Amino acid sequence: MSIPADPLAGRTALEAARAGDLAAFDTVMRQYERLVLVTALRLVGNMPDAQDISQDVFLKLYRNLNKVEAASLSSWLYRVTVNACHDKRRRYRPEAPVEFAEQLPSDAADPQETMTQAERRRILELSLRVLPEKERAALVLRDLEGLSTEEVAHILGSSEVTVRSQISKARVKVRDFVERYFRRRT
Amino acid sequence: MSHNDWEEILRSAHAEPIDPAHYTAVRARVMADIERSRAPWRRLAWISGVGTMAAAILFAVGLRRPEVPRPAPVVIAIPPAPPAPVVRPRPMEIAHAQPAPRPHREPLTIKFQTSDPNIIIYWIAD
Repeated sequence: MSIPADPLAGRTALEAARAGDLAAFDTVMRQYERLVLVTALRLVGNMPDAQDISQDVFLKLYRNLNKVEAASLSSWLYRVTVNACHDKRRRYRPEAPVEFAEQLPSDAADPQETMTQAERRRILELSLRVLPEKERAALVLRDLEGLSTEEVAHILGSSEVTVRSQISKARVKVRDFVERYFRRRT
Repeated sequence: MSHNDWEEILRSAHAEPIDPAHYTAVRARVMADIERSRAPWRRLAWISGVGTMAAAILFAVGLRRPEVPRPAPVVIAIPPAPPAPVVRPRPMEIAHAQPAPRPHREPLTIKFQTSDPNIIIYWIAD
């Protein structure tokens, strides 16, 4: 599990934040901001929405400081982030359908070697967009965030069998997408 | 392409650092929101604090107000009165009040004439 560095310091900061220390709460945010923002970005696919969600998640954390245990803070943040992303996607616009490789510009002979960071980012964004909501969350948490299947199941409120199935399907879809992308370019 | 290839592409993209300005913006918005939500309580606390202080000051001033000394009792020495001269009392004359004679008045008579000449109404008021 990608727990932020120095959990002991995080625990101390969390305790100080519970006592009303705003600077300590700022420290807690700094320790977990990557976890929340990047997860949200992968799930909603754009930075403005990811920032809105991160803001909501940290405000929720602030209001629930006395209820959240330091040991399970990462799981709690993942869960709240995933739920906030689901809510956002349900309330707001549906994503544009993916037109696969046509959206990815490149004329290089060997695209894998010459692939820029921007292209990688674009492949990641589009390949996640082909996935249904639950499969996307499972894949992001398991394969990108590096959590165990058990942790993913706990965060998503599903059984491990369900999560394994979702991840398996998601991997097939993403691999298919990436392969089609490279086939078109070679 | 092997499983590791595409997975590596996704992981490297995922691990790509994000512009710190995005994090800073989120933190700033969260802190601003928290400050805003705290402000009403602070204002209330401030107002109640000032009110309590004012009440305490008034109470303290009331306690410390110097008492106005009571005027010392004035003692007036009254010299003993000289012996009163002996006066023989005169026999009292008792006046018998007589009721004032009421003047004799004629009774007031009002005569009403109606449209019928044969009918006349007399009203005598005493």
